[in-house]
Amino acid sequence: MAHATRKVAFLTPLYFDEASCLGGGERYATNMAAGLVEATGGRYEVDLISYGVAPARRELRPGVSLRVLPVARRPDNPLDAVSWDLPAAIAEADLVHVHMAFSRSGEFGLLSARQQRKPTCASDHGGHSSWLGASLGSLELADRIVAYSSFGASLFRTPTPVVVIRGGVDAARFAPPEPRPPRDRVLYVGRLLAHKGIDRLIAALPPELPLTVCGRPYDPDYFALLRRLSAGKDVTFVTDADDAAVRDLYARAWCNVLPSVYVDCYNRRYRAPELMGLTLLEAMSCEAVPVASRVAAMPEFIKPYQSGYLFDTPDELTALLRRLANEPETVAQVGQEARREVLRAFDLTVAGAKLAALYDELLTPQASREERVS
Amino acid sequence: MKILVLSNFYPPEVVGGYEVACAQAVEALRRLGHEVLVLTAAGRSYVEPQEGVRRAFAITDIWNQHAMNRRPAVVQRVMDVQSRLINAANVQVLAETVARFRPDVAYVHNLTGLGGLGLMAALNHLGVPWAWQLGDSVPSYCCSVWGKVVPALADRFGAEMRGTFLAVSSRLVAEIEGQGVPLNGRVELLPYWIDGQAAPLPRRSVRNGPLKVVSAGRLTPYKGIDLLIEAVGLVREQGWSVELDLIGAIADVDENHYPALVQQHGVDDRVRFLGPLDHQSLIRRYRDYEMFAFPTWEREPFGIGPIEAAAHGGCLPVISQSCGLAEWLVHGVHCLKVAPTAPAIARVFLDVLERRIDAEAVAERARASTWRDFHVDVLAPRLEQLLTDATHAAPVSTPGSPADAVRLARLAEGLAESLVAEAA
Repeated sequence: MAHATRKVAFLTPLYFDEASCLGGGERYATNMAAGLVEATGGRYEVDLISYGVAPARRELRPGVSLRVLPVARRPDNPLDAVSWDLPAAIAEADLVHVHMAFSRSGEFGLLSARQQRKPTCASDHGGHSSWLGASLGSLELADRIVAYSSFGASLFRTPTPVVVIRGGVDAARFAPPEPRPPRDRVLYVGRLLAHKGIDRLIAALPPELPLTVCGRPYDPDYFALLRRLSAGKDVTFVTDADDAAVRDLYARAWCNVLPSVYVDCYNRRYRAPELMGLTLLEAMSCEAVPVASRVAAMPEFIKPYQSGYLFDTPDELTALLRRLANEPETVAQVGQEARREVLRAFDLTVAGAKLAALYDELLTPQASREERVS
Repeated sequence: MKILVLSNFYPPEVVGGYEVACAQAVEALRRLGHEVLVLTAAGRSYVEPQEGVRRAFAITDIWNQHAMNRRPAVVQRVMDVQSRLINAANVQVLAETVARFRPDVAYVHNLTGLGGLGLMAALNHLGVPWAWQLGDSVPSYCCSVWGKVVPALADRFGAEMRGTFLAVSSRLVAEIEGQGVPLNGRVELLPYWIDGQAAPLPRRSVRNGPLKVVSAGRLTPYKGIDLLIEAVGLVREQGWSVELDLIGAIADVDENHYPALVQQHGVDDRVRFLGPLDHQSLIRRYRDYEMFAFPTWEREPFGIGPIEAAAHGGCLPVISQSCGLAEWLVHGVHCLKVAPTAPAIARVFLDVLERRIDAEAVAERARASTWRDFHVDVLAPRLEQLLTDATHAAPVSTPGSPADAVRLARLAEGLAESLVAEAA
């Protein structure tokens, strides 16, 4: 029997685009939308609902549309965007998935979705701009919380069931090139922000090894600090790379390092510096060896010495970088295992299939919240 | 049926005809054997506890301009939102009351000042079917921010607020929908009503003196009060005399406005401002007049005063063509309809004074038809049927929990406050 197409509204205050924000959280939402559609053979469609100055709508790929709603007012924090048009946009959906739950956008999404009795999921991508909802138990308005790591799941304080769906990387897009170019550098890919610990990576970088730091400099002071720390070392900054350029960098790297920290160089503390580390998975998908600090969720994605490496101290990192630069067989072997791990567990179609199973459950009448409440 | 009535005010707290009509309907429904609980706002002053009335709502009084003007702008904005859109404490009161009383239907009256949109959303959420008595454009008020209807909000109102709307006039329906607020569901016209029992009127002798005219309600230019004063002056210029008593509170103008106007038209011995009277005193007073003039020149959804005065005092209703009541009465049969201009009103006064119109015959027909067609006990069976029909309407979805309703309300209120604060 043919299934009717079901529409899911992904609500995200920012979307992965130059016009909005190029962060892992934004990429994740787009990837999960694609994975859901792909894994279900089009049984699900996704409207990625976000905000901008002017309304817009365009297809990102078959079954996935970006719908930009006009902001009611330009907010102080972009995560706090809301639009009067959101309830109408949500009304068209069979199910609502609120991303960035701890933002005004997320709170308004939870309010609108529950008020319209839509089955609702919520996710946190680490961007916290409003504690109003948390103080009122807004997560209890959702039927399920979707976390992408056990670490992320452990942070929720709610009786609402939490489902862990790891991964969501586009393994088809991030694949090793044929032929592979020579590997000749250490790589960092991600936003240039202090909680990413890039300053630690530069400090630990052996002087004889080249490092490419690729990402948008969202914090000018921190970017200036990184450039000062790079003096006398072979560090290249790439701040305008597109996906093709990033893929090329992954292919040329011995390893991709994600050295995120709980306490940054300015002594600021972070409860959840990495809820997953999407660039780590993208690197793995391209057979670049992932190297991560033993922080937050990252250890959940790396099998040490098999599909990547974890480090605790700068000295360990320094030694690891030297070793990888000098052991091409190890790099090739671990890199290939990393990609196999991605295809097995973290590809967007794998994650999309798990998400579809969850949505199927919620869209089955007996699983609805109303039934559970009564 | 167990009927939960929602109203911002309830006698003895009275601002206008809306809550008087509400109380009359409540008593009529009780006479029909229904269990009725009124949920209304805590009084502005102390009110003795009443059986079947719960005064637990908080009202956000944004109508006191004097007090409002002294508040910081951000406070004014927050109060505006609380008055129109959402007041979480009121949703909590509603949720508790619904849980305890378990009504079959909610009979909704005026929600201004209560965060009415949130209350209606809560009724929907809790699965309480409703019928909304529209004596004014309250849905538009509830879909507005700072006096302007928000189109997206109005659209959602149309999509989600599907129930029974009982409007006192078709022009009120047109006005609300003209403001962009769709009334989906069932829309029925049901005129406002009078209460009480007909009593014989004192026999009037042939007049040999001034025409005695009364107008009652909010004394404000848009109710035509300025036109009436000017018309009294125009009649005087023709050598005839009208005595005009104005009953009610002066509103929307400064304190010097009416004294100056009366002097300007030279009618300070012909126009009296008697101040507000309680409803029973007003009813008794109607016997002293021959005509109730109601030449409102802006919107007027209905206008209960003219038919009350006709029923209880035998007064000839003179009403503007544009008021809602004009839909229900026939010119020259039950009333005189007049264009809202001073010369036109003066012409009607002169027509009566010079006996070109048989005012007593029209007044008598108005009186008879009011008791026959507009008494609350005559209209109550239809109201009862509409409320019964509302209980049979299929619910949009299974009821949600009171806890969720309150959480949603608190979240909505918090979000609204954060948006207002950010914009300040």
